Amino acid sequence: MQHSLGWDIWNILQPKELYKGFLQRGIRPNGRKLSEYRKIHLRKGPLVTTVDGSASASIGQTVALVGIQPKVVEWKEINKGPVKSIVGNFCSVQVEFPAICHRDMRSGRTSEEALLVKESLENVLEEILVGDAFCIVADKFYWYLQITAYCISFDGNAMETFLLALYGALLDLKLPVLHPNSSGDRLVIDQSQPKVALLMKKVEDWPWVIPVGIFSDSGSEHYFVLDLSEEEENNVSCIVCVWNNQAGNKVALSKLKFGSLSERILQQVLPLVKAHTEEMIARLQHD
Amino acid sequence: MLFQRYGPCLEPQSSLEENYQRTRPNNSLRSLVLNTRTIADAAGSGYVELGRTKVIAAVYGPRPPLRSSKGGVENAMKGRLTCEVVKSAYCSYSCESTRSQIGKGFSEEERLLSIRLVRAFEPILLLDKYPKCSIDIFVVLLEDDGSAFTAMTLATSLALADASIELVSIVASATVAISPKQEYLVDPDKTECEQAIALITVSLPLHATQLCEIYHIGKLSAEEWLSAVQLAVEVAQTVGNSMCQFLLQEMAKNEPSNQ
Repeated sequence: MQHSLGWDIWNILQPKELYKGFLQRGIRPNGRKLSEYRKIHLRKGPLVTTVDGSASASIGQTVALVGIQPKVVEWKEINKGPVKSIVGNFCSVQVEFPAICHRDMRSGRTSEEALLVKESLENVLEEILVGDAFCIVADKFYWYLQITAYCISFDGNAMETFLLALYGALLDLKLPVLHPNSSGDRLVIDQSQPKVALLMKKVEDWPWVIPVGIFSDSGSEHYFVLDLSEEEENNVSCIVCVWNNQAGNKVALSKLKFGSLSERILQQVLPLVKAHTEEMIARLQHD
Repeated sequence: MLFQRYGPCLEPQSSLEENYQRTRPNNSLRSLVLNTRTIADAAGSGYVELGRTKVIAAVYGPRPPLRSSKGGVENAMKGRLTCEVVKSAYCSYSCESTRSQIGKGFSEEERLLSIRLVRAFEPILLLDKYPKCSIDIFVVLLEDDGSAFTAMTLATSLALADASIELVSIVASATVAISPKQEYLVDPDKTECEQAIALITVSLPLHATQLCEIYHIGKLSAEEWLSAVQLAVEVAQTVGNSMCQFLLQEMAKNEPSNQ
């Protein structure tokens, strides 16, 4: 107990020093290895009955819930966004971190974290959705997906949790088969046919994101930490999001937190994430 | 229903509500699911499913107030209870959603629900034991299929108990609807609530003889009102006993890990 109290005090006064001491031994304060993930769980719908596709994903204590509500729109309501854009024309994404999920979140305004996640999810949807899949009757009726994502509990690594939940919801999504009625001005559901999945690019080509925390002290040592908890996100010097696909032939990087970066550091990060990307895409295909 | 679900471009069909029939007895509840410790950072959290109505509640505190309270020193000697209720976008279909944009503040309905929850729980919490502190309750209504306030009250009770906040008693709640056929329907779902001529929701502390909140919509005679309230109180007490048993089981389950 006395030993634990000493660590708690040290954690409050000098958290980065305490964290560095553990990283030098290749382990985190809670016993996890640097590249070890917390428990990952994906549960695909029907979680909520008012949506046609839903999934709940959790990585450790971070829980995200994504629901997709489709509606039919007329052609004149689309083409409001950029010409070739899918998001804006055929789907919209809303991400919310309600005050319930963490003590520092506040209701009534969209948090910075939510905006970053929303931007990432929109980029992903542009990548994996196919514009032709939304057409019901050419130049007349189209599907429009309203994707709403909530963070139920936040403990770091929100980006990956939301992405897993979004992918689960897209795989769960089933749309009814619609036909125009006799006059052609409305649509009728074909009850004899089962609901069908939305046409998308194959799962093997879906991008995956892995936020990597880079801890560097004043020296030349760098430590790479995957699956950061909320406390660890405050301790690391820099967070880099590595976007990758299963084949590993398409890579993108974005920086979430300020800190020094170099080409040498990035070269060390890339192989680290490849194995986890393959594992996550394989999990999506088999779950 | 399909019109509301997928939009006005679909051909209207005969309304399901016209042919609606209750499949369970009038005095029975829907399936009740209770859970605690669903949110990592909260002092306490509770999750309730009442049929298809789903609510999650979290309690943060006692902690310093987020905003300075009105009034002077006399308020500082007693804790303060705040509540925020958020209705998720899943509470309605996309075509009938009135919440135009997330992050634009609370709707009137959400504010009213928050006020009702504070009114129900303020007399129950021993706020004298938490001077200069704020106990903040956050509730998210994930799906609304009727009796939402009942589920919110139950979830908040679970969250407060999970956070070890000192209470007079566990608060339980129940809703009774009076149908056009003058039947008393316990725990009405959304269709029954919309068709009802009157709706009564009561909240009461389990081991006290008073109600802490009563909410009534519609017109009733005095005898009908009294019968409905008595029925709701009986149901609430039954639900409250189930909640107590659940909390005792959870406590027994967690005890070996705390030693």
